[in-house]
This record gives sequence, C-alpha cells and structure tokens, in this order.
Amino acid sequence: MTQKNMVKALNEALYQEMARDDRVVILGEDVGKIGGVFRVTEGLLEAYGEARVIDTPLDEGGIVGVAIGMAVYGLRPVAEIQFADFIYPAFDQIVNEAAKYRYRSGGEYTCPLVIRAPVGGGIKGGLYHSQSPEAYFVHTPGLKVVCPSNPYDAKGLLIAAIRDDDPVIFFEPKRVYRAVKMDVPDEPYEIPLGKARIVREGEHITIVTWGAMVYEAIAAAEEVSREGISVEIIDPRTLWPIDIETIVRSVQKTGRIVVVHEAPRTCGLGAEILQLVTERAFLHLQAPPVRVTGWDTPFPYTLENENLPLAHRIVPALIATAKY
Amino acid sequence: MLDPIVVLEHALRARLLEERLSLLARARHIGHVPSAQKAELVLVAAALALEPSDWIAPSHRDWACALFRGLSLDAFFRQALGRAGDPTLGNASLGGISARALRILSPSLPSPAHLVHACGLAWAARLRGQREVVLAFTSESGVESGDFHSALNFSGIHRLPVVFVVKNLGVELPRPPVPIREKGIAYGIEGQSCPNEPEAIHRVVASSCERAREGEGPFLIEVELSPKVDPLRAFEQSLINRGLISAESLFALRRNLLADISSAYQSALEALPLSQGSIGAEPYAL
Repeated sequence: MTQKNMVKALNEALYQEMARDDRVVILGEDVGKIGGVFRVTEGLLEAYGEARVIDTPLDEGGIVGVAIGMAVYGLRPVAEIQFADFIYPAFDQIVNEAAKYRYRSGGEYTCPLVIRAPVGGGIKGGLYHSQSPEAYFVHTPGLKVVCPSNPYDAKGLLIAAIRDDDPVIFFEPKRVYRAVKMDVPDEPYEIPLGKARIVREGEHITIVTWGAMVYEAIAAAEEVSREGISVEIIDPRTLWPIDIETIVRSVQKTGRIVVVHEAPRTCGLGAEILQLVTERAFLHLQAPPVRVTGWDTPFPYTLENENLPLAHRIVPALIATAKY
Repeated sequence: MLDPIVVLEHALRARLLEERLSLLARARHIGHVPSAQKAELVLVAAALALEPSDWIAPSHRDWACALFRGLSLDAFFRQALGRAGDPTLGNASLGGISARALRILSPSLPSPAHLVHACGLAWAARLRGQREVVLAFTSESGVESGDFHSALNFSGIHRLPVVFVVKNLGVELPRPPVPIREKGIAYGIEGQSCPNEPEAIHRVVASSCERAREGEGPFLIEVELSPKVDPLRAFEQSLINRGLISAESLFALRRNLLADISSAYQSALEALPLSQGSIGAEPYAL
C-alpha cells in the first residue's frame, strides 16, 4: 500500500493490465513519447513498446474507430481522448458504432474498449478544456459510463473497465488528478462497475454526486453539520448503469435528495437520477428533489467558479431542503 | 484462377435474392432493402481473391458478401421476416448481417465508419502475428466522408494490410477534379482504377492483398461502374459469346437459384416469429 494520486493510480492500472493481458493496447494523441497530456500513460511506451502504445494522428474519430476495429478483433484497446471536450468528433463512432456493435451483430461480436477522457472544470481551462458531457453517453444504450472521484476508485474501476466486455467511457476528473493522495494497493484489484460508494453516512439529506464535486459535497456537509443537518453522500462511481438501489435506500432513510453535478442543468444526469428516485421512493420524500449544477451556458473561463456547483452553492440548497 | 461460372452463380444468386427481397419490401412485408446497385460482380470477384482467413468490411449495400462466404439464404429471409434463427436476433436492419465465423464485419450506417474499423482490425491482426488482410468496400459517396480520410491516414501511416475497393457508380457529385484512385497519394497509398470486369477486379485485388500481406501497406482500388449498363447481364452475354455457358444452362442455373430462394423463403416463413423476449435484448454483454 502506497500513497498515490489519481494519475499514478491510473498509470499503475494501465501498466499492470498490460502486463497481465497482452491484448491490452493504448492509443491516442501523445500517449507514447509524451506519456499523455496529463502523463497518465507515462512510461508505458518504454515498458511495452510502440506496437502496444500507439501515438496517433490528431483525429478522435479515427482513434475511436481504430479502437473499435481492434476490439472487434479481440484486443482490449484503451483509447485516450485528451480532453472530454474533444470527444465530439468521435461521437458517431462511439454512439453509432461502439455502443451498437454487439447489439446489431446479434452478439456475433463484442466491442470491449475503454475510452478515457479527462473531464470537468476548475483548472482555468475555459470553454474547451472544462466540459462534463456524461449525459450524452448515459443516454446511449450499450455504453457504460464511469467517473471515479479518488485514486483508489480510479485504479480499481479502470481495471474493471478494461476487463469488461462492453465499451466503457471512463471520465477522469482532471481537477482531482494531482490534488488528492491516498493509500492505493500496489497490486491489481477490481471495483465492480455499477456499484456506488457511500462516502459519508448521514440522516437528513442524501447528496448524489461524482468526480471532483464529491469534495465540494463533503465541504458543504461539514458546514451544515454545524447547524445540526446530517448529510449522507453517495458517489455512484459508475454513472451508467447506475446503482439506483443504493441511492433509493439512502433516500428512504433521509427523505431528501440533492444531486450535484458540473454539467449544465437541463437534461443533465441529475434529472434522470431524481426521476428514478421519484418513481421508487415518492412516498418517502419529505422535500422536493433538488439539483445543484452548472448553469445552462457554455463553460465560462473567467467565471468558472460561479458556474461550478461549489460548496458555497450546495450549502443553501441543503439548508432549504432540510427546512422545507 | 477465377472460375467465371462460379462468379456468375454467386452474383446471380445475390441479384435474385435482392429482387425477391425487394418484392417483399414493395408489398410491405419487410423493411427497406439496400440495393447492391448492380455491383454484385465487383463484390464476388474481390471476395474470391481473399484467403479464408482474410476479413471483409462491407458497407450496408454489400450484404451479399456474407452470401458468398457461406451464409445461408434461409438466414437472410429469417432476418428480413423477423423469424427465429435471425443471426442478428432482430436487431439489425436489412443489409446489416455480420458473421464472425465468416469474417464479415458489421456494416456501418450512415457514415462509412467501417472503413476505420477495417484499419483497427488489420492492425490487431498484425499485432497478433497473423497475416490477415481486410478488404473494405465503399462507394464514390463514401470517399467524401471524414471516415474515409481517417482510414487512409491511419492505414497509410502504419502501413496496415487493408485493401479499399471503391465502387464508383459515376453519380455526378460536386467534387474536386481528382480521380478517386489518386485520393490516397497524400497518405502514401497507391491506387489503381479498374474496369468492372471480374477477371480484372480479381487480379488487382489478389495482387494488392498479396503486397499488403507482405507488409507493403494499404491499396486503393476504384472500380468504374456505369449506371446505364447492367454488368451482370453483360457478363452473362459475354460468357455465352465465349462459349463458357449455353443459354440453356444459364436458364437452368437461374431456375435452380430461384427454386433455392423460394425454398429458403418458405422455410423462413414457417419458422416461429422472434419472441417478444428477444426484442429489446440487453444492450450489454451477458
């Protein structure tokens, strides 16, 4: 067990999976010689060579399309998109191809690939280095969508994603990459996809959040605890298929739910989570379900901290919900 | 050596199957049938140039490739009619049949995304130490897409064993005055145009597959089709003129193929409809 940040934990997961399974290959822009824009793939080229760690042209559609071909053949490709904001040129390949390949071939083929992409704001990245596009992919049957919030989960979830037989979109909160260190086992381990983590137990309100916003939720929960409000925080970790049972169990206990996410509010994943909860625990609700999210605007540069649902925006929502 | 009678039989079976399916579609018994646009000879001649271990990445119009490689007529009707035994379990639209055992990839729509998959597949085969080649089909419209250029770029840089065959129907589209066969030059890919004659197509596909297998990289073949001529009819006539088949034998061949098609249709009709349980099958692997 060693203290590691998320970059190191992800790098270790990739290194160990490549050692365990020679079908695992890495491809993306600058993943080889440079080691990735955030250095997540650093050292892999030296360890495994150019045949398995492939620097590609700047062509996201091409990267994902090639990865699909490799996956269909039987490899386990891990494609990197430098920022989630750059994933849209690959949208057709992800949504119409990777997500549907197993389905439309009647199970003749599977498409076991992982698409990694740094996600979220908070690094002064502006419009095109800050987005949180998870809802587009959650909306697409056939994809699994993952977003770890800490180094331990990141390693175990990435290993599980690589070993999964379906395409997995693996969003990495870039604000957390080097901001958090924790004990991470040196040996490989899996965290099963589709299982949420209860970050903190509480009695009065359930917060559901993921990625970098988990830390904002913790800060907000600390603050309202001084007013006697006890908050339970659930990090789904896998955004789809989501562990709705764990969330519903929590809401049945607390009677109140607040969803926090960076993505814009309208048709964000928060809306779906609240609807799923309403369908299952309507009579347990003691207050209207609430969303604290990014605004319905493109991600701003100067005012990014006004756009992000930071603790100072979560606290009033918690108090209002508790007092309803 | 290409046997012209084998080519004729495959192409005619595909044509007659398409005609029967189109009749069913017009009667609204089945969905839309993507037409091969009279390019059956191109598909057969190219496919017959492959080794059994090679792969085909068809477009949705090239579904007959699965037929040439052994998929039964019955399977096509079961898919079209939504009957038990449909290899796609009711999920793919017509033209969407794929078969791992036959090394036929799943065709893409609406863009020719399968061209890029062909590159990944060829790359994977090379990584696994296999001498497999991927034959990828598209049309003159497909070459206008970003996927086509992605495929040429990736395959050109990494010298991937992919042979691209473009069926040029000669449809007037606004495009730069560069022949399709020259579109690979910027990517370091050689190209060649070829008349729509089975022997010529077979020859150029076989040689480009061989060079790809030897590590010399991808190749781009443009086959020029004329929308005004039915190449299959012309091919039949040329075989008669060359004394390779008699009019009577051709008639008998056509009659036998039609009987096979009718029998397959009947067998599929009698099969059970796909059960409700198979509709909306799990989108994830079990």
